[in-house]
Amino acid sequence: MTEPTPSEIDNSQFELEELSESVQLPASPEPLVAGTSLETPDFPLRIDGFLGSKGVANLYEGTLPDNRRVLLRETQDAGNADLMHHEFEVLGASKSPMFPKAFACWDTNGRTYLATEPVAGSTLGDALKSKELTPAQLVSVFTQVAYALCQLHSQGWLHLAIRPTVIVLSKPIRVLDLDHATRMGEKPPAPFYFAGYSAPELLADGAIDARADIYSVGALLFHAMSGYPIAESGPMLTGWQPETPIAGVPQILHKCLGPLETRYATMAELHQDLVRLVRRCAPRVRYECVSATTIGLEPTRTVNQDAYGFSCVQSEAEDGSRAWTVATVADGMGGMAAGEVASAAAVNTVLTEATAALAASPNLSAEEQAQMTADWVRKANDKVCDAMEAKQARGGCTLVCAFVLDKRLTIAHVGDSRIYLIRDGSIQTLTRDHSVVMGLVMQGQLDISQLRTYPDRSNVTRSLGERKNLPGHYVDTLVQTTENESMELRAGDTLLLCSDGLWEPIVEQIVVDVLAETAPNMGAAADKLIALVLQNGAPDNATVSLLRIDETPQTQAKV
Amino acid sequence: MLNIVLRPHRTSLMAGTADSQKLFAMLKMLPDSETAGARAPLAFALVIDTSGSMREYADQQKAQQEIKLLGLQGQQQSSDGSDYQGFNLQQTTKLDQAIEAAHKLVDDSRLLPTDKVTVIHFDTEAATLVPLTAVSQRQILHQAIDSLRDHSGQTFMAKGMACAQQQLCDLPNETAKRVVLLTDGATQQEGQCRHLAGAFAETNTPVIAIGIGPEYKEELLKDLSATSQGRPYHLENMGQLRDILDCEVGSSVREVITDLQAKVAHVKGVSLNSCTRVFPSLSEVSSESQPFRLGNIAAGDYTVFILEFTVEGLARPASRVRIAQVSLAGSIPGLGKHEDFAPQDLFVTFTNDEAAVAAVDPEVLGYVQQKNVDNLVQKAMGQATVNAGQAKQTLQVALGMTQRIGNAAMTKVLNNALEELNKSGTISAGTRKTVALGGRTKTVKTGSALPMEGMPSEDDIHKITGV
Repeated sequence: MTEPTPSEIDNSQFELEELSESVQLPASPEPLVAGTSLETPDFPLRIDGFLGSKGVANLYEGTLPDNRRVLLRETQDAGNADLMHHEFEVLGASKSPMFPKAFACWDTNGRTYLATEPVAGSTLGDALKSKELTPAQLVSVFTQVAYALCQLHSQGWLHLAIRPTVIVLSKPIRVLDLDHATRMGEKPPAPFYFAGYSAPELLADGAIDARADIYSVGALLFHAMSGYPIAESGPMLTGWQPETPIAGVPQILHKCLGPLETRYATMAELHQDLVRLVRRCAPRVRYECVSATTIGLEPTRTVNQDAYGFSCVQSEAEDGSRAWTVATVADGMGGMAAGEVASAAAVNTVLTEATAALAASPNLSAEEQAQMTADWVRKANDKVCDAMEAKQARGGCTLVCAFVLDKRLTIAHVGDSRIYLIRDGSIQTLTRDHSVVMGLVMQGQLDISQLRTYPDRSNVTRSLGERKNLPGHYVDTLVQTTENESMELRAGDTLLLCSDGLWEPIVEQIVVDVLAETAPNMGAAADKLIALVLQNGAPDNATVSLLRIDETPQTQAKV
Repeated sequence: MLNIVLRPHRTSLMAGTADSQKLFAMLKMLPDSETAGARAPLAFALVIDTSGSMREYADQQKAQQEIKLLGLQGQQQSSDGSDYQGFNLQQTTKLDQAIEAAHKLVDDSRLLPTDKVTVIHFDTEAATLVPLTAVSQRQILHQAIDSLRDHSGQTFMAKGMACAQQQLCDLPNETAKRVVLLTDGATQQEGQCRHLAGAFAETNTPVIAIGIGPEYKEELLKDLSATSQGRPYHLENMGQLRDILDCEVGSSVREVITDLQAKVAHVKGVSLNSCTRVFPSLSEVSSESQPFRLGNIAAGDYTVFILEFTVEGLARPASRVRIAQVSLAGSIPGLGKHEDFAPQDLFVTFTNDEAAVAAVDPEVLGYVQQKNVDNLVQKAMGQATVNAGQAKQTLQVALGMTQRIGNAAMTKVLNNALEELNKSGTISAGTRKTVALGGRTKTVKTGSALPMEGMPSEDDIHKITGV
């Protein structure tokens, strides 16, 4: 026999007459006027305004002597007063910026006051209703919640009332409502249960431990992935189908919402898994790098003195993912085979140094990354000097180097080879030529439009190989053109590194047009640019390296 | 007459929202001392399976050992379309033990001389071996019970149930009736059995459905007992039958209110989803139509039902609202009365205070969780045949809940099932039956609730009822 489903039960004939009464709200104290000064045990406090009543308490905004704003609660109800003292004790112990700071709690004239840091903003509850956050953003919030609870647990307290409305989405998130906080290993003084978020063991007699808060964080994750909170009858994870399947989530949910003995033992373990989940949710950067070079059409140029090189690394493991690319182009100069030796030495040095340095130090700050890029160019200079000395020749090379770590770009260059950024159909020059003609342009003696036709346009003012131990200013970075030492690239950006053999005959707009025409085929773009160089007579060697940044979406759907 | 408590699992719901909110209400009843002393006249229908398989030795392992020890050779026999090896051992068969338990029931000193018993057998055919006969005429009843041995055949349980219905249908509602049904096989005509269970429900006749062995269908017995507000049992061995019948006689003699019926009215924005008896045993109340038939109420201990409501579709302001009303009516045959008990109002406060909404009643939730455990257990038994991994996860959740509730008996049952699942990757038919049926008779009282007003003490009950 099958039971009728709830919708089939005929309830219509049993409608009851409405009988309701307004609720007598418990009395809150007569509010204090703005401007009133209160004496806490340690300092005075000024009331700036009455915000209203909440239950048996009045709420005020106030100011401390050091002009910090406070949220002041006032009650004359004994039960509420106990809760306020309790909250003050817990907030005082938490010592974490992710909980509101508690300034004072005192009793005077039959009233109890609690002054805390005001925390305002939209909550996780608002975000779950409006579905404005991506899964990756939500997981980041939960990771912060877990971290905040780790800190609370380390002080021996459990929160026990975690739910979406008490998580404020600031940076970092803030966790509110410590009214139900309980000492670890003890039993809450009165039974309570926040449907959808409280651990089931709260309903049983017995001491509570960290696994109750672990359950609650799992319940938040369940709500975010399902679009609805856990039913009051409990989570049914077998056969559960989330709105947006995200790898790694069911595993975490089972270790949060299952029976006690199957849950994470500590909040730190959950936090660790959430951190890994954040990484998995983040989009993965992907690089595509192609290069092309030509000796040119000048009969006297019998050797290609340009050199290029790039190195792409992408790896992913449980402990994290790494992605970086180093691309470099060098234009050699000098007879007696000096030019090609110099450019080869420069390119090889950069790639060797980069590979070794990043194997040893995979995580770099922007400052460290910029410094490292410039150092590679300096070391390349030393190697070029050594090579020239060995050949007993006079020569050298220009060098441009682009280092992209995940999506953060730093550059270093010497000479008149260039780096461009092509983004959304526009092109930006990231380098400033170290050349006589560019000097004239910078001094205002020449217009930039004349740069390509000026007679001494090939004379460079800086190059590698002249002397060792280059002075500090010799190697340019992004600072000279953008005023920042690094730049955050976006998916779809393309970097173009080239020698003057390419940029001289090919104006910037042509580059943009070629990339647009041949997209997404980078190889075809590189070949087309070289073909255009040849069509224009190619009096010099020409080299182009194209580096495109893409992202593979991990989880981009809104939850 | 009847102490009634109607209490929600939380006294507050969120105001200002039309989102769905659940509310569980505990309907707890206890006959007062006046009512407790006036028990109803009883009528038992013993409906016993006399198919050929009931002639198997009750302890198969012991039988095998004896055969091996004595080096016996069996005789090829045919019965009910099946072939058997017949051995002549000094051991009892399932039928022998059923007969012995039936004799003990008839001789139970708690039965009054005016209580009545009828004995019915079923195999390929069914017959009433003795019609409803007063216990004072025990000899007639004993002879009829012994004559169960004279029958054999296949298994047509509906025929036996139909005989029982014939015997009991003309009894007044005030009589506390029971059908005690014992079977070891898969019956023909399951639909007819279910139909008859509906008829028993109409006449307030709970079916105590007892199964033994791997062959019978536990879903059928569960449904028969649920429909009629009875109880299902799975016997792991025939020795348990005497204890079960002893327990059933004990609860029968304490039934003082019969055919309790409930009407549940509610306001707009509230719907009733289910009504489930959770103590002293678990059974869904048929909710096809109102009034709901809640069965009989025993003296001496609580009878607890859980009503599940959904509140949604109407955003209410902060206020205190009567959302439902439960009206109960039943017979007190010992006092010769039919009573309409005072309606019970269910009030809830709608509030914006989240903390107030979170305050819960642990006693009510304890019963709700036992209902949830049963849901999980039934689900797990369904999963066990197709996905052992899922069944294991579901059972673990149920186990956690029973441990928290403090239900040691159910915890043991679930632990055994999980152990078997871990060892063999599957659950045997016997374990499945034990878990699916056994859990329904193993619910416990929850919470540290204060005694109900007017609750008689254990001594009072003993003096009044002799139990």
